[in-house]
Amino acid sequence: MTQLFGEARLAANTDPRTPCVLLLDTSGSMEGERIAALNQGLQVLKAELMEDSIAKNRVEIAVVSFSSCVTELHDFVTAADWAAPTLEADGLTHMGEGILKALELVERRKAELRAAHIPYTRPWVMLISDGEPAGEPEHVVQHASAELLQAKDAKKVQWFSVGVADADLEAMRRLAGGEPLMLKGLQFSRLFQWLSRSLGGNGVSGAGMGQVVLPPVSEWAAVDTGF
Amino acid sequence: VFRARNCSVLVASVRGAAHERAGAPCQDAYAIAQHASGRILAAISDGAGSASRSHIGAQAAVQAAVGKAAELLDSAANEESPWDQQAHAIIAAAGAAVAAAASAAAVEPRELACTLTILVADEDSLALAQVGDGAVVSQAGGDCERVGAPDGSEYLNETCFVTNSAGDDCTRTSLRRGRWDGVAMLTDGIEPFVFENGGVTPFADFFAPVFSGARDAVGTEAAAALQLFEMLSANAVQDRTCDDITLVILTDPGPEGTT
Repeated sequence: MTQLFGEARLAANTDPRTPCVLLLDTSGSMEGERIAALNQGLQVLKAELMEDSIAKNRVEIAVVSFSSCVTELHDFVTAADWAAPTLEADGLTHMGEGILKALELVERRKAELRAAHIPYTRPWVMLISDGEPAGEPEHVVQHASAELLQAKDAKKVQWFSVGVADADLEAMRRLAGGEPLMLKGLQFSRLFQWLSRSLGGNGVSGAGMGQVVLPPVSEWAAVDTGF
Repeated sequence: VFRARNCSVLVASVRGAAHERAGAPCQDAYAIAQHASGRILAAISDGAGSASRSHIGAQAAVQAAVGKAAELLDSAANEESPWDQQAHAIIAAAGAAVAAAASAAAVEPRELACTLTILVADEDSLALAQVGDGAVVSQAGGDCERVGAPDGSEYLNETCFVTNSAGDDCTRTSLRRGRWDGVAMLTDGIEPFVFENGGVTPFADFFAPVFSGARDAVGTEAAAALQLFEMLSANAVQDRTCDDITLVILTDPGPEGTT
């Protein structure tokens, strides 16, 4: 029998995307082994995503750092084309401003993907900090918190807050809602392995109605709150 | 796979690599029957990845949907009722069957969450009802078009399920009148890769060879279905998606564009 369907081709450049913003605290308190461990963790994330032949073309990473100012280190790029940055720590903790920047990037990317007719899953933001907002006006923090809680309610974003070492989880909870998790020691590598697996699995359809199936966090989180 | 009066049917359902790795079953299901009136009744369903027994839900949904569609066709009174009304009755029957299966398994209905696409086809009409993602494409005179609108969910992995409460009804219905030469029904495992313009325009380089191949297969459907399965299992597809894929192709065996 001849090959009946040998000519069938799939459309190019329609791979669904999962945008992910890494919102990283690079204030002075992160200096030393914390920032070193975070940088190493970012390398692990890159390596893990490259191992997943589908995730590497679907997951898009943007990195925003916050200290005394907020820096969009780079806009969204697919994991295959992403080069993990090496961060340096210095300055205060403009977390509120960082949150607003992350939300802005997410909305902008969704608009671009819509315009390009590329399907996408709900974007992720992972906030990692060892402190609480410092050095920026209180009204900025309040505004960021209100915007974030509204965005989460409107299902605009899938938000994860991760505390490191001296982080004030209660302050994070007030700011970002939900249940922030405390990193076990400086297990950034484990955290980013988990993130890679979660983002990869997130591409599998049918998670449905806001339920995202996530691997257990017990390998890297000090307390498994089962989110 | 069977050959019905004036219609040839091919089906292939492939378990996604992600499910294979996780040891999960194929969560897609399908059911196809021919009504005494000659109409083809075909249903496909995609069980939610987040639901533990969605493969059972998908199976219950397609069987109940085809069963209810046949029951409605049996009654002359129903045959005259608007399709929209019949469609909602079919979806409701599928939802009830999934709820009953959940109850029998002593789990919450959401653990059997699944989408549903049901098609009632005769030679000059295609009646479609859908909950959640999945797509139907018709071919007539060489031109392909999507039947019904794409799922309106913003996010690819957050769709509607037949297990949603009645207050959250997101059933989409459509009725296409006119002769057709081919129809394809497919689940979301392959949906992003076979449309352009945001799910609106069928990708001709996929559908034209598939319909042409299916027409060449009339009389040798079993071997052709295996080829369809192999095509969907090939690297060109599996490098793009790790989800289950189900593809049903109906073809009118008459010369293209005529019956």
